[in-house]
Amino acid sequence: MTFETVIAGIVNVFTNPAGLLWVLLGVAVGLIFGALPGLSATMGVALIIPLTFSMSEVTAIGTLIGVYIGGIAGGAISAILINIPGTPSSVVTSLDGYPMTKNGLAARALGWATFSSGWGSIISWLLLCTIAPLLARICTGFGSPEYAALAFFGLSIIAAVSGKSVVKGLISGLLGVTLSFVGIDPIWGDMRFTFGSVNLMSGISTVAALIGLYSIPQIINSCMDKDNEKISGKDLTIRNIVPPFREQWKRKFNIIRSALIGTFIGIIPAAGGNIAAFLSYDQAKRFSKEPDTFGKGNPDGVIASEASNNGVCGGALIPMLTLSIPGDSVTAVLLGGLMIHGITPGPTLFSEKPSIVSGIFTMVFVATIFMVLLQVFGIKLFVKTLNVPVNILNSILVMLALVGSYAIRGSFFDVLLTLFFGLIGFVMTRGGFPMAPIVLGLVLGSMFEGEFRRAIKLGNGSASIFLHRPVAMFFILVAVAVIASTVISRARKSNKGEAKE
Amino acid sequence: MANEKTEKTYENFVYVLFICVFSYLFKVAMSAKSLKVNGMKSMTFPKGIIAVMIILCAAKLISNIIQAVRQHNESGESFERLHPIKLLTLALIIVYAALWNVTGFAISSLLFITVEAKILRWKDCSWLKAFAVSVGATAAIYLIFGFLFSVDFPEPLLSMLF
Repeated sequence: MTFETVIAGIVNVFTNPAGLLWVLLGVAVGLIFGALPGLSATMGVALIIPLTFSMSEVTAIGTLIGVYIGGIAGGAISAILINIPGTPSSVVTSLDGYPMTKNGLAARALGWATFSSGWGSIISWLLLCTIAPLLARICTGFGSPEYAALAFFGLSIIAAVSGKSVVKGLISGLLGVTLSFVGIDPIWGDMRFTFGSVNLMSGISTVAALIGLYSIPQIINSCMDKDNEKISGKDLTIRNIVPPFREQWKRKFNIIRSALIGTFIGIIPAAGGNIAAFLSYDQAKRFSKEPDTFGKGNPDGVIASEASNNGVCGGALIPMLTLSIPGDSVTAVLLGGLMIHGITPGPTLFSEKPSIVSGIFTMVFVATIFMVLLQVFGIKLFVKTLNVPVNILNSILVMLALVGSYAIRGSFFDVLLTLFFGLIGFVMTRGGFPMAPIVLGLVLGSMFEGEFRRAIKLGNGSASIFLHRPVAMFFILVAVAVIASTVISRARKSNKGEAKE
Repeated sequence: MANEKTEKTYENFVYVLFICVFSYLFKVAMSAKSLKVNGMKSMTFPKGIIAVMIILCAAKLISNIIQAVRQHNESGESFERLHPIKLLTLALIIVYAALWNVTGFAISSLLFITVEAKILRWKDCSWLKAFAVSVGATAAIYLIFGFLFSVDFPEPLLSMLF
C-alpha cells in the first residue's frame, strides 16, 4: 500500500456524499437495532445486506460497518435507560449505567457511553490502520491451548460480575455452560441433550437466551412501576450530556486500557466481543480507588464497558480483512457481505486492492464520528423513551422481544426458547441470582470445552501441553489470580462485616 | 426488591429445581451412547459440570435449611406473594406467544398490546387509547420487519382470508 493509494481511497470516500449518507443511515439503523431490546447488531447487519446490493463496494461495506458500530454502541442506550441490555456486550454497561439513571444522571451516563464508544472505536481504528498485518500474523499462532485458556480467563470473570454472592454467580455461570452443551458435540459429532428435537441440534440460540433472561424478567418486575418523572428539556443540554474534556482526560487510563483490551480481544479470531466488556469492567474495578462504588452508578463502569466493546469493532476487522477470519459474530456476517460484493478478504487484498482497504479504514472512522454525533444530538429522543408510559412501553417491549428472537432464524422455536429463559430468569432474579454469568457461560462454554478437548488431544491426553504454551499459561495464571483475589476480597469484607456486628 | 425471606424462598426453589433437572440430565448423560473413541467422550465434560452443579446446589440448599432452622425467622419478615398483575402479565405473555400459530402474529399482537396496556393502567388508559397504540405498534413492526426485512410472520388466519 503506497501513500498515494491510501490518499486516493480516503478522497474517494469524502467526495461521495451519497456514500456518506448511506453510512449515516447505517449508523442510525445500527443504533436503533442495538438500542432496542430484542434486536442486535448481528441482526441489523444481516438484514441490511440485501439493501446494499446496488451500492458500490466501499459504500456497501461502509453502510454495513456503520450498522456494526452503531449496533454495538446502541446497546448501551437501553442498558442505561431501562436496564435491558440491547446487545450481549452491553450487559456490563447496565451494571452501572442503570443505577446512574436511577440517580437522575441518565443524560450523563449516555454521554459517557457515547464518548467512550467513540474513543474506543478511534483507538482501535488507529491500531487497525497501523499494525493490522503484524497483529494478524501473531494471532495465526493461536492454537487450541491458547483459545481454551482465553475462554477459561473469560469464565473466571464470573467471579467479578456475580454481585453479592460468588456462589450464586458460579451456579448461574455453570447453568450457562451446561446450556452450551446442547446440540452437536464439537469433536465427535454426537447429539447431546437434544431429546430428539431437530431445533436443538444447532444449540441454544444466544440471542433468544439473552432476550429471555433480560427482557422478560425486567418487563414483569417493572410493570407495576410508576411512570418515570418527565425529563425536563433543560436537563438535556449539551453541557449535561457531554462529559467535560477534563473529566475525560482524568479517566484517560480507563478509556485507553479498555479500548486496548477490546481491540486485542477483537483481534483474536472467533473469540467474540462479549469477553472484552467483562474483562475491562473487572480491570477498571481493580484499578479504581473506589471499587465498592462499582455496580452503584460509577461512570468508570460504563466507560470501561463501552470503550472496550467498541474497541472490539476495529480489532475484529483486523483478522477479517487480513485473514478472512471473522473476529466475532457480526464480522462473520460482514465477511459474507464483503464476498457478496466481490471482495475476498485476505493478505492479497492489501496488495491487490489497496484503495478499497483504505476506503474501508476511512469508513470506520466516518462511522465512528457519525455514531458520536447521532448519539449526542439524538440523545434527547432516546431519553424521551423514559417518558413513554410504562404500560405502553412494556407491552411494545414484549412484542419486540419475541419478534427479535423470531426474526433471527424465522423459527417459532426461538420464541419458545425466549419464553423459557424468561421464566427461568424471572425466578432466578427473584432469588438473587445474577444473569450476566449465564450469558458468559453460554457464550464461552462451548468454546472452552471444544478447545480444551482439542488441546488435550494435541497433548496426547495430557494437560501438560498448557505448561509448554506461554501465552496459554499467562491467561490461566491471570484467571486464577482473578478468582483468588475476588474470593479473598469477599472473605475479607464479610469478616469485617462480622467484626463490626 | 424482595425482602430477604422472599429471596431465600425463591433461591431454595431454584436449588430444588436445579437439583431435579440436573439429576435428570446427569442420568441422560450417563445413559447416552457414544462412539468408542480415543480421548474424552462427548458426555465427559457435561457430566463433570452437571455433577459440580448438583453438589453446589445441594450444599447451598442444606446450608439455607440449617440457617433457617437456627434462625426461626427472627427477622419477622413474611413471604411476599407476586402481585396478581405481574402473574397476569406473565400469563398473557405466554398466551400471546401461543396465539402466534393460531390467530397469527398481527391479530395476537393487536390483542396482546391492547389488553396488556389496559390492564397495567386500568384507570388511566382507555380501551380506545390502548387499541390505537396497539394498531400503530403492530403496523410499524409489520412494515419494518415484514416488508422491509422480509421476515415471514406466521399468519394462518389472515392467509386464509387474503
